Amino acid sequence: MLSLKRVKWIGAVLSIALLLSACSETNQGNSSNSSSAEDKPVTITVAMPNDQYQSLSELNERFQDQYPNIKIQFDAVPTDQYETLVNTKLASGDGPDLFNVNSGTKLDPLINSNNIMALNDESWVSRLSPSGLEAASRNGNVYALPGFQAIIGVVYNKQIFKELGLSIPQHWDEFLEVAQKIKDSGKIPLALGLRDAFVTQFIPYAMAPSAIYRDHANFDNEMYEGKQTFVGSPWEQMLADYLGLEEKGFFNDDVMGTGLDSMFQMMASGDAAMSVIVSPMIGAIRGMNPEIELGVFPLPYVKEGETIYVSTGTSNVFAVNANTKHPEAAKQYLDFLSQPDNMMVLIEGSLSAFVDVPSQADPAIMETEDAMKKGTYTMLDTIWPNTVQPTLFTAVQKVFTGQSIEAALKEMDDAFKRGIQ
Amino acid sequence: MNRFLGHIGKIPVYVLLGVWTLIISIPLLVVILTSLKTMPEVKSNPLSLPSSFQWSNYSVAFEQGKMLAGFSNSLIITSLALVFIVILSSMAAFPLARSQSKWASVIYLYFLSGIMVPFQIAMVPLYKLLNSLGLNNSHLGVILIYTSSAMAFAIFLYTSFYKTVPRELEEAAKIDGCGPIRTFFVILFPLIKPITSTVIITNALFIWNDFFVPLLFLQSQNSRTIPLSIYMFKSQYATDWTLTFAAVIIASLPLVILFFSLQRFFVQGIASGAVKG
Amino acid sequence: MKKYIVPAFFLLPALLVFTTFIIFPVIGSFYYSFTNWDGLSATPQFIGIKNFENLLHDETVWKSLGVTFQIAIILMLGQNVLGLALALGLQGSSWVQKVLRVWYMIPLMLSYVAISYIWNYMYDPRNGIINFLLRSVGLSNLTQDWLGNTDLAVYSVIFSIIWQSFALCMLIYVAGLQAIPKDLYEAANIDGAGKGRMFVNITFPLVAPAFTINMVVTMIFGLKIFDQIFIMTNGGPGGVTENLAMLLYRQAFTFRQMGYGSAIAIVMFLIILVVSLLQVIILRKREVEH
Repeated sequence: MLSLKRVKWIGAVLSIALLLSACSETNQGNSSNSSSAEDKPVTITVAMPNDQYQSLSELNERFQDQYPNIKIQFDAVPTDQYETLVNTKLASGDGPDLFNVNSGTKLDPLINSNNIMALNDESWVSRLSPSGLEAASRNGNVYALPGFQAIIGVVYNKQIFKELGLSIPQHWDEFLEVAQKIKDSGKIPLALGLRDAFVTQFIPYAMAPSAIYRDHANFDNEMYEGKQTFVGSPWEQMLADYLGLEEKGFFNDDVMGTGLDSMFQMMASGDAAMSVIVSPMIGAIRGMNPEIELGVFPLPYVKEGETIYVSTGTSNVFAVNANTKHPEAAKQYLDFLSQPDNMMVLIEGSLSAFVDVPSQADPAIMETEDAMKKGTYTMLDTIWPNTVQPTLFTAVQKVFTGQSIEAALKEMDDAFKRGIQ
Repeated sequence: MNRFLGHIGKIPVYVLLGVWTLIISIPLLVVILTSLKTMPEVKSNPLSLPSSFQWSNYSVAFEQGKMLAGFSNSLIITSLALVFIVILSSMAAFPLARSQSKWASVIYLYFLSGIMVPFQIAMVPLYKLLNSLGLNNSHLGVILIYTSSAMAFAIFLYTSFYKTVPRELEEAAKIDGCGPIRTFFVILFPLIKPITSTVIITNALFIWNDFFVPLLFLQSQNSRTIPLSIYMFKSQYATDWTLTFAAVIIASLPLVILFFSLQRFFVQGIASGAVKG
Repeated sequence: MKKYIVPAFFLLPALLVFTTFIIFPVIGSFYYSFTNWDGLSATPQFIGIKNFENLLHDETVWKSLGVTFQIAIILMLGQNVLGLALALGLQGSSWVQKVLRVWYMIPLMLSYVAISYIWNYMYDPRNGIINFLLRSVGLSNLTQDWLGNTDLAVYSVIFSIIWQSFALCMLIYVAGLQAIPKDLYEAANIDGAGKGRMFVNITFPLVAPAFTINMVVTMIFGLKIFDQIFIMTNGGPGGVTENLAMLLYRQAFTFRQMGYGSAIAIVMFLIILVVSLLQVIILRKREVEH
């Protein structure tokens, strides 16, 4: 039975609990100092999606050893949630001091809302390669520290190719023949998992440079001017051929319900002979099967004798929050990362974006070096308005489940128009 | 044996129960078995018994998933939120149930409208609000969010329940000289234990297992709650089902054990609350 | 004046918390729905009712409205039919029944994250348990891409939600059934009523209060479902599992159209309001009649 005395006691406990919970606020916010002097101890907050640049924890230790007065609070956020989280924080004025950003047009919303600062005067800017500069700049200003350069290519199992006496196809009909031979031997020609929506873009991005931009470099500008649309362009043929691979049975069963990890597993176990992926993913496949012999060739979406252009893009590591209370510390951090020995650790296994940092990419990726010299085009989401890429994802999924290609492309056109309003 | 059961025919009911019990048990069994195997074993035969028990999966999951921190955060947040919910809602429902005046109905409906608010509508404004109150990334902020979202339904339950409690007790207390506060805490509160247990159980379940609110408002590694720990863990070890399910089991074990020991109260609590409502 | 102090004391803490953390944000999003805010800029621009106009013409909105109701109605029916059927068998007090009532509640103890991972694994077309079982009993022609097939995906997601939460519904029915006096059945039996008629004339009407609560609650719950869809299919494939809550999230956070997203949220809120009111009115009337 509750007596009044008991009640008062409970009330006291509650008040204490209230105080305790308010105090147990893990104090993760911006540190109390707002000075710019580097000597005072300072904590900077850094955010990164947890599937990228995984060597950062090691590099952060190195940095803190070198600069003992700067402490790094590093948050590796699950990739799906990364953008939502960072944007929500920025919107309420509580953004991290440094955060990972995408390239090209993806920087625009952050620039327009004054959330990231220009870094033109940093010493590492002059060391950037052209593709690095392209990824990190908008309107002539540099907004981020670039990291590694990636390509989209066909990763293939060398052992299977040897067994079946296959050579690397140089044009589309040869590619289809190779796929057919693999299929006849009982293996899966191409592993594809469209359940993870971002996988849908790999094949179209791989096709586009050869199909459109090699001969028509101005295509995107014309789209912005309203002179070109997805409908009535080579995109119709591209999607038809993409779907055609499915109709010929060259993909695994149930692509819609297959996830990225199943794709990797099929490659790693040798059930599938090829897969169109982004170069950093090779590491994941090797992780599942260290014995596997892999190679990469560019997707030969060309007629016989024509030149293949490769889809490539450089990713950015960090941009600096325009409202950071510790701009000097943040810039020092970026400078540290840009140093060749650190950058090499950062981009392990990939091509670099700095002229003085040698590429030590996976040997499989290096096989595409010659093709890349012949011609490349950037990954399309860095050029399009931000509304198009998510629409591409659903458009491909819909096409694969029976919707008409024209309707899908029209959705992409509508998204494009909405994005440039 | 239940006479009504006899009249509806035992066989179809038994078949349904049998089938459904299988449907419930198989996935649970799979999770347990998988958590004790290695990945190659899982791929060759998902339903086999493990050839040797891989308890290491559990220790990896516990450490890499930072589950100790997760448990303590979940515990603090859930228990404090429950305390607030029970106290604030039971108090607020009291005048609403006892008063006949118009303002009481208005306030009652005001609270009730909260049930229909989808969380997404409030996400970003809430974030800005917490930030301006300095409650970002804090346990208190999240506790207050949970308290406010549980209030509508809790007040509904308490109000309905109060109406079934005879007023004579309160009137007797008044005659004896008890002030309203004393009447409430000393006399009424023990009587509403059944509905309080309903409120506690349903909200405890929801808060402990909630994923979205901590995701938005408690991101830093030290403040993560358990569901978030599993989620973060899985995105790192995406392809390893054995580790993922070990993490799931560790995360679910406390609630399951608690449930088994208190299941009588669980069942009673849910049932009594709903029927009286 | 004095007589207001006491009620005020009891009401104030709750009112304060509720208003601050629910009402203010809702008003905030009402405000944002009349702007084209992108979630990042400091000052949103006022654009009047343009968001709502676009909403009416947006095919994806109408599609997701359909999906929302599809999911909510099937969830409501599924949980209630299953819950009642199981409750009929489990209302007694034998130890088997007691054990099963407890056992069926275990899925409720798992978080949405856990449920989604478990069912992703069950539904995986290559390595998943369901297809594995079908193959091992020679029914491989029945194997499906449970989450990838656009016709099946919604039902697969719905099933996993029912699997998790049916027990609450069931328990409420059990309580309702146990409250029915046994002599009514005996009397009917003496009068020669068959099992069907006993159900229709005694059980169903008398379980009405439990019925009302279950229907209303499962409906509201079904209209708002988000977490499970988000983790299992993220609205895919091709948008077949994208209900209003998912669409709202996508518009507000993926497309950065916070204003538009807020407008969708308002619409969602109104729909839930209207549907719940209708339900309560209809079902209460029915209760009274019986």
